[in-house]
Amino acid sequence: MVLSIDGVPFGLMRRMMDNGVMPNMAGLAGNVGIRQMRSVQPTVSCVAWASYMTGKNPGKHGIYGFIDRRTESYDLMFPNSATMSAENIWEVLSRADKRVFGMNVPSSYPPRRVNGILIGDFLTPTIEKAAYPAGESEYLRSIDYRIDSDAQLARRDKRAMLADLDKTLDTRMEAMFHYLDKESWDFFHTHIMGSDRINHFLWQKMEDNDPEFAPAFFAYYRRIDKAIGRLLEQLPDIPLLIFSDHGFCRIKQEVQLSRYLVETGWTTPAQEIVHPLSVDPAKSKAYCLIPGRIYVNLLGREPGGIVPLEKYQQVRKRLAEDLLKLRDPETGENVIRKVVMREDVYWPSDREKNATMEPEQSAMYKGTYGKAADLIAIPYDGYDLKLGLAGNKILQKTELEGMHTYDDAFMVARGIELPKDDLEILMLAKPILDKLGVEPPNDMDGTGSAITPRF
Amino acid sequence: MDKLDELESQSIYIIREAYYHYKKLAMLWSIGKDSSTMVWLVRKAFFGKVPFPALHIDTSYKFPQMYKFRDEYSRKWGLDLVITRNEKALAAGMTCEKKLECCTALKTEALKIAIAKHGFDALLLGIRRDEHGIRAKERVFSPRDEEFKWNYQDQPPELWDQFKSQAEEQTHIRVHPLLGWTELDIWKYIRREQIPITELYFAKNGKRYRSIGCTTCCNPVDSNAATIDDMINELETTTTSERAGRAQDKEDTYTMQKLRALGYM
Amino acid sequence: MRDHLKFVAVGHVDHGKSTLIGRLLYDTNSLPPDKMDEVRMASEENDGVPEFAFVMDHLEEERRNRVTIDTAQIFFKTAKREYVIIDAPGHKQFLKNMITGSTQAEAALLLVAAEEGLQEQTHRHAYMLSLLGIRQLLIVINKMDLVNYDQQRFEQIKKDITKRLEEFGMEPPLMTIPIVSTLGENVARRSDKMDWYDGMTLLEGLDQLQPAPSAQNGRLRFPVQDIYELEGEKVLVGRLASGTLRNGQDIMFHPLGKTATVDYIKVFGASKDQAIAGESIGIVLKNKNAMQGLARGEVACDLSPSPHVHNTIVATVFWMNGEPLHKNETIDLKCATRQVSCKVKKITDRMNSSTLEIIATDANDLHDTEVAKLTLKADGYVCMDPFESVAETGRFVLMRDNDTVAGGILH
Repeated sequence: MVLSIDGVPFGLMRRMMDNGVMPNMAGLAGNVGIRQMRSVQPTVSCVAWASYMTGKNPGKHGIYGFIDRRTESYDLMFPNSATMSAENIWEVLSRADKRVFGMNVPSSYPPRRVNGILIGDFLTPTIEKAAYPAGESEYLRSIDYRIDSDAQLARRDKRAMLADLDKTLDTRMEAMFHYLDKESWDFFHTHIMGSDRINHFLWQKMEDNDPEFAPAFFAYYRRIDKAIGRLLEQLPDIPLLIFSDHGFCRIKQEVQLSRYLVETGWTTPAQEIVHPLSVDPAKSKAYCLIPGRIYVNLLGREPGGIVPLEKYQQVRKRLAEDLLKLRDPETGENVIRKVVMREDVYWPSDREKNATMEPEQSAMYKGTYGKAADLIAIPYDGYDLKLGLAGNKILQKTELEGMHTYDDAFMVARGIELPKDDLEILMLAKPILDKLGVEPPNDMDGTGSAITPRF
Repeated sequence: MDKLDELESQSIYIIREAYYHYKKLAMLWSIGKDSSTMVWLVRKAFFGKVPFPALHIDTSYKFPQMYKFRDEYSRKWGLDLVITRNEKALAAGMTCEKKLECCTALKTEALKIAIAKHGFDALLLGIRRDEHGIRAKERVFSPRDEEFKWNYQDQPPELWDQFKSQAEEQTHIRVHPLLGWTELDIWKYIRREQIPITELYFAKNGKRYRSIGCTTCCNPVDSNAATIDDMINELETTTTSERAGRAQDKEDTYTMQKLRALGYM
Repeated sequence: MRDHLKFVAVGHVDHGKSTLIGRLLYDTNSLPPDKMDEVRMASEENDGVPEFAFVMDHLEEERRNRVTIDTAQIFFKTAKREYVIIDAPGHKQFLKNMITGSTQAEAALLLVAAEEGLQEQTHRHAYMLSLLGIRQLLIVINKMDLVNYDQQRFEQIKKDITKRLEEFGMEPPLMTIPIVSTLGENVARRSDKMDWYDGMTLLEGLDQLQPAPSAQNGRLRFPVQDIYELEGEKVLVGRLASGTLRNGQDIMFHPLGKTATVDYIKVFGASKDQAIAGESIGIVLKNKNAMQGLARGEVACDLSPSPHVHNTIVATVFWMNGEPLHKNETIDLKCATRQVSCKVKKITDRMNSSTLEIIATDANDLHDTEVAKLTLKADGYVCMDPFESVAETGRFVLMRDNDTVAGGILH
């Protein structure tokens, strides 16, 4: 049994357990402990969950963010389960004849064929497309199942957003308990997305103890805890994992990184900016996607590439230097904590585990790994990296109050053995497969110890 | 055995059956990718020593690269090359103003001439099943034959197309060893076996020929496929229907809106 | 690489076979994306219940556009496998496809409607299945909603069918599943309207079926297609129908009855020391003398177990010609590469393939689209196998003046 709660940081979970906001979680963690877990780079849910469900690093599954570019052009495409190039855990278990269930886990839409039921995540366009087998959508319709809460509400009306989050959570839990009762499952995973939503839009109010919204914030988590209580009662002994995919912190500023690249002369926007990659390739040595994914406009690789391969490493070094120079004018602080090269955090399938490649080799690598960004910029806490090609400011603030953090997802594990020391999210698939007696695919990462270096 | 192995084995079986039943056999070689693949299979069937001729119907309007290819490979492969032309029609200045007339005169008539001259009782043709619709009008099936169309995969080809033409023409049997192959299969096989193919198929200046015949009637298509891998890639992605494309656009719009609202764009 | 499994869906169209097929395709997401959308949109106007008429239209359209080769095959996929439903609009087509077609079903789905229960139809379906020697059977009792999901009714029908199958010498079904194809109850989704049923859904049941053992593990059968002479060497060519052949292997030719040893397997442009079922190859024998008496039509087999070598052939035949077959007629039989002349000794259990009615138990002729058990006396010996064991040597055609007039299978 897996219940995942998106974006809840270790520190916050501890506090909520200590303050009586989540007594059931407190009870559980009291018995089995709670620990910290590392996420993935870049730290976004679709990448984190793809790494979880495949047990592989993004260089093997190919989900590098919510948006990506088509390699033959500078057009955008939206990676998802259809483009993910590895088997997910439900498929692996299905082949071993296990009965599996998955609901709302990011990167599971469109739902692949499994021996059981898969219901797609928050990016599923309609209920009819949400389920495998397709017929399950009939049930979901009948309970007015919410694929996701209304994203537009969050910016317009926080109260309405809260009501909507509650309704979404309720139908999610209703469906979860319905399916739990339906048959006996080997692997059952339900994901709650609303926590990430509420963290994004009410984090500051929570930290600042806003009289209306801070209690409302905790009330939401209390609601989740109630469902957990019922779950624990129903399944007192079975192996159980409750965890998040990344942590959260307050936003100081949103950073329009594309704008910065324009100002530092790396990117030249096209005459007409239609989308985040509307660049003039002939005059752009680099460009970026969200969050902090920098691409070198490499000759022979990019459709309109201009940087020759011999200059690749040099360009990356200079890009890194420029990125590290970016400061917040109000506070004088550096914005970017570290810039990593792709061969340091991603590895392709047909290489020895974690063997680092030479830059030139990495640059021209084909296939899934080849789609990765050349550089990843990791910001300091508080600086949320965005795109902003069309804007005129580098730093700005919107209604977003919280941003993702890398180091501090939480993990509570009962009845299942996890590696002892350093834990990162891609290491979870193997212990689950081991527990169910199923052989993991032989190119899975994180089979034993963490592979991603610490930043 | 993968799909290509199966197709290869069936085709060789069919070719050997044809030879067993019809000793005056000939294979039609248009120098295109399909008939060249068939010639390759025929060579395999007879262990490199093909005991019957390769018949090239020459309209004289073929690409110069094709003639060069034909001469080079018929020599390399030790083929007994028979070239047939409708000399009379060509002398009378037949060209492609009226396409159907031209094809009938220059191709069909030329074939009849060859059959009459050499006494062929059966012909091997590289027609594929996914082209069937186009070539349908060249063939005549008796209704009974239609009913007994057995699957070539597991049965000896009991029923081959009987080309029963007009009274004054000779009757001969047409055998189609490539009927179970698709265009994609052919390219994958060409890649696997490294079968030499005329360069016309590969993109030059953003265009390539999807099928080759006479210079007058063949038009290139837009493409950047310069290698066989590119070709296969192109075919594989264009076969996923356009219908899927439209549905995808709708979804992308939805996803974009959502991500924007959440600050991911 | 996924497994493949082919099964036939047997059942009266009124019992919901089309809807069931539509449901299977829809639930497993096996339709093209725009067809999936069509079904979804139609369902919105239908109280959320998908309308499968579109699916059947789509399949019809596909069927019409497709060239003769793969006639009646419907594809869908689950997590475990790729399935092929060998479908046929009517019994006649079905029998003809099964007897003359190439694809062998590895299992059968027998569909019965709950309110109608066991009927003459079912009796004949069972007969057809026994005829074709299909071993794995799933029984699906449909339209359970029309009998109020009544367990008694289900159990009664289950009992009746099992008994009837026994009468035909068939094994009991692998499982019997109560479903409602229109609503999807127990097809992919576990029904909550039939708590008394704790078996599998249809999809789960299908995933339990065993694929037929691979031909390469079967008995060795290499029908000689021709003999070529190349550089002084005699090469037997043909396609390996079943089993695996290795260099140095001892084999026996039937019906000749001679043993020989394989010197080597000959293939152009490669060297092979083993060949498996399906491959077209050449064989060179060790001893030149071994070639004595060998000709097209002989079948190279393993030394044991011996195949059946028939002079009298009793088989199920589907007649396909306007000119009927008459008792005592002489006709040509061709099995794999072997051709012999036969006399028709007996025409038994002459059956109308549309209605499945027995016209005569001992008949004097056989008409177009009829099926019968023929007893044929050949003017030579033919190496044959039961159809379920080796398809190539278990099926044959009958010919008059080199025109194929019938297809047959041996049991």
